[in-house]
Amino acid sequence: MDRRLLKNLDYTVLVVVGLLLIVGLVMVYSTTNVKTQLTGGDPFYVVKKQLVAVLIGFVAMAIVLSFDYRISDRMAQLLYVLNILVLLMVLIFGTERNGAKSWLFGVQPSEFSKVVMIVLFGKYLAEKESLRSFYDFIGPFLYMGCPLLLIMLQPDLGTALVFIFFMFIMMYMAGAPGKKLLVIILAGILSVVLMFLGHKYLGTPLPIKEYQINRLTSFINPEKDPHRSGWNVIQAMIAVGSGQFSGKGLFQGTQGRLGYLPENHTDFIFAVLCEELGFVGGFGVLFLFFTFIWRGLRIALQARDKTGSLIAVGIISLFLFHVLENVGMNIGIMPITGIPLPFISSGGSSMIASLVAVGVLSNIWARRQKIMF
Amino acid sequence: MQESVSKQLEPKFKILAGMILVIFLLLIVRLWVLQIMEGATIMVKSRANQTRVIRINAPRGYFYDRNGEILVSTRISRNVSVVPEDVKDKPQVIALLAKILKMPVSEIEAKLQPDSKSNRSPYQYVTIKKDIDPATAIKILEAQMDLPGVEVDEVPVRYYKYGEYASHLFGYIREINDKELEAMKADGYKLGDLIGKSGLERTYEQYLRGTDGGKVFEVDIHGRRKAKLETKEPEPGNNLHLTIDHKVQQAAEKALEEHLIYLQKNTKYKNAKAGVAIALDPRNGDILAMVSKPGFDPNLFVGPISKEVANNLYNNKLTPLLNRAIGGEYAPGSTFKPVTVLAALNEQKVTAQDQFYCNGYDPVWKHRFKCWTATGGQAPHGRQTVIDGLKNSCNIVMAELSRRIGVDALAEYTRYVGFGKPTGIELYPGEKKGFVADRQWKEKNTRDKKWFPLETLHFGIGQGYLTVTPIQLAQFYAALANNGVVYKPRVVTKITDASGKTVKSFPPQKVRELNIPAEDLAIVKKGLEEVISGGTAAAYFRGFPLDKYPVAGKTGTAQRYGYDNGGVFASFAPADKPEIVVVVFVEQGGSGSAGAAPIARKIFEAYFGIGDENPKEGKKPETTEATANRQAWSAAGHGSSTAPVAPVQQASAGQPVSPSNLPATPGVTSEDTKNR
Repeated sequence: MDRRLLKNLDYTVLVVVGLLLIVGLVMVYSTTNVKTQLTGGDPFYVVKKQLVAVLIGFVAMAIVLSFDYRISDRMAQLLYVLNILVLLMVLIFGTERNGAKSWLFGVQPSEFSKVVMIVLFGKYLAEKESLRSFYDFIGPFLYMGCPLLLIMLQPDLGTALVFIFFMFIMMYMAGAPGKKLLVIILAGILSVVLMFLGHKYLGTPLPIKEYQINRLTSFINPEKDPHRSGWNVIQAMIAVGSGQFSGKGLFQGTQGRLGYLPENHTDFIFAVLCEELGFVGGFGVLFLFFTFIWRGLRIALQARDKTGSLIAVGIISLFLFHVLENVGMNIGIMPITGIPLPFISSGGSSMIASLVAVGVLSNIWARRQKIMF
Repeated sequence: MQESVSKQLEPKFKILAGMILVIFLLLIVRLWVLQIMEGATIMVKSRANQTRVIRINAPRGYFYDRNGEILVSTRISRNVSVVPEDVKDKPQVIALLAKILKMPVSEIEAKLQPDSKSNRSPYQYVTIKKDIDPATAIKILEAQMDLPGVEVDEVPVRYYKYGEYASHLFGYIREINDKELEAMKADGYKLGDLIGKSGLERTYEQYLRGTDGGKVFEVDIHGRRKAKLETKEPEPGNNLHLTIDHKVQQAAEKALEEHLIYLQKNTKYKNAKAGVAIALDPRNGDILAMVSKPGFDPNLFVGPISKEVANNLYNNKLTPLLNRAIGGEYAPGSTFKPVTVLAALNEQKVTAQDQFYCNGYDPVWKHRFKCWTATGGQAPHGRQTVIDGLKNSCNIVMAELSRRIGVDALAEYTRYVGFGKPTGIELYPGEKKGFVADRQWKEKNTRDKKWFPLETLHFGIGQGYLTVTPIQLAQFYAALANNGVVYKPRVVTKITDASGKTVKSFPPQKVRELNIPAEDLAIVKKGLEEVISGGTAAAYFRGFPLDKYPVAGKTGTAQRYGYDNGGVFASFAPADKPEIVVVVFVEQGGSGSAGAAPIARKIFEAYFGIGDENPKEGKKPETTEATANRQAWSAAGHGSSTAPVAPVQQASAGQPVSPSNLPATPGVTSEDTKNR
């Protein structure tokens, strides 16, 4: 790789990511070493798998870094079609886990789809002349709508929400009037509410299943059904709260180790972190994410072109939403949708995709000035 | 280009930056609220979530006799329990366990079946077999590697070493019931606790129970024990040091039991199935023995009780759970006569020298009030002093005395010496008070209203409305023995903790001093001594070393309409320096002499070690007694005036015939059975 490229990297971002990765590996160990069913006797089994994902992620990051983010139209078309094809394959050949058919040969293509679509959408929006009227929105919506629909069909509600989140923020930053976007958002919320009301009073069918609704709404009043839909929220909050200021000590968390908190190495790893490392640990991780996103914002601001800027915005929106949603559900203020905490939750696809996203971000920063090659 | 992009987007970037800040602030505030503000409360929830306390029951305090011998203790019961989930797919484990426990596999499997009612976690231990023997426990421990999920718990279990022995005094323990639980919740009782239900177990429950310990386990989501967080050792209950003398108690148990059987088998008193024997020390009120029959084995209550046993305990006409010593109310019969004599002497209605004449019938009431000699068709007593009246239990003498005293004074004296009120013994479920009737009571409570003069006469011979409890009678005889000083009957001398430190002590408690002139007492004692040496009980103390241990006592026969006569015997010894009072009641035992006195004799023998001093006799006293009793009874029952000794039996025992084995006075054996 070019030496000047390396010199131009944002090392703050890389150090922050590195620290988050270390915290992640330690927490994955803490949450999996006692689960013999998962590890098959080797307490480091899941950590090793995670480490492999990190290494693959680094390689992918380096590859992404070596290409210019300003891809050709042809390349963009190719990627778009490839993305749709893969998502279709997931729907046809994919395997189901936790109620969503989102796995294909051991990977979760939707994780990569997020990053790919951010890059493509950034390019698409930057090249679009006008985004002033509702009419202008049709194009971007259709462009994003196709992959979004395929993901909703899995159905992977969490990832779909991520798509919607970064789509609106990118459109807003690309010049779409905030008020008009807000109207669309409100209309969307209204239609969802109407759908629910219709289901409740008229019995109209809903696209999602009953248990998913319960899971989504359980955070509002988990005590209503504390042993089923409310269980996860309650146990996560007990884990977080009982950590108090300095935590129960690393590897000493009882909520996770004794099996009270399910999914504690993936969705609820933050709760275990808070239990074992207390407010100090929880705040520290949030601070690292904040630093990362804040640096991302600077990258977006200083990008050499609109494409780079929008892609950077898309990536920080992606991480922002993941943090908000994952941490939020761990502390009982967001619905449980099952999206991982980047760099920390156990899971190869998410890890590699996140590192690719970091690669894209670094790519934009490294090429913020015209560099003579 | 770079400039233009940022310039163009700057306001929107500010909004985006603001959004980022707001989101992070929101998350951090929420984290602060959960962890710092509510952390401590949530921590408690987390602990409650993950710990289970397994109680370790405290071993209950022991009962020791007055010489420090253990009477009631707590033994270790080993129970085998299994975690159903751990043996779920392991038939070889169940098979091995079945082999060791010698139980059918199907029985174990049935116990491990999930219980739909109790919502039990499959990770909770289920008891498979209780109280296995040590050898089996060792086998299980040795095979531990092949028996995952199988555990041997050690649980303290109450153990009454001598089984049916002082059962009413000791009481029993049983699982707490809902009502008791409600009432005693504040003292830390929980469902499933064993508590004293009666007797000393109940009276001193708070001392005996100790403090349960516990093991705090961390449990996982399935209830499976993970780590032991802490262990609080239980504190054993405090020990009771009783006044009971094991030797005397054992003798009393045996004597009463055997004599009841003897009466049922060898006399016409087939219904002699219940009785009481009390031995106490008159000098301090110490209860040396307390037997109430029928009794029960308190060990029965430790485990599950079969329907048959329960029926026998709870729906039995003979009320085996009743402590007759304190809860039985009986007519004292002639054992009451000392009260009549004392009252008459004190009221100066009679002197020791006064002569009475018994022709078998009361001079006033003729055939409506007879002496027992008349009833039995025997020769009347003839000339009698008050001492003779006691010795021969002459009703005619007592009738005359009663008439002279009058019902009012007699009732007053009766109450004064302690009848009609509790003795103060501290023993659950508390004592009955007995009953002393008088004119006012009759006026208020009966249809007749008027007190009839004949009723005064019945009163004077311990019949009619009067009832006493055996413990009251024992306390009264103790007062006689102790020259009027009355002690509260005492069962417990002190309570000590596990280290032997005294927690509470119960010094002898003098409740009152009867103001009885010494010369009056001497007259009564002389009469009582003559009862044994030559009077109504003489036949039953034949062969007893009265020269060494003079006994004073009184026989009594209590009538009850529709039942056979009850036998009563109240006594103390040595008469000149009393150490022990013995009172015996035998329901439907026929008479005080044949029905009750032999039991008292054996208790005296045990107390004074008479059998021990004369080891040659071996089992002899028993057989002699039995034979003598039989002879005496037949003599009395058939009006024969001679009661042959039992030479055949004595010869078979290889015992030389000595004068002390012969009846002192021919004919003496034939009294009292029909003592009015």
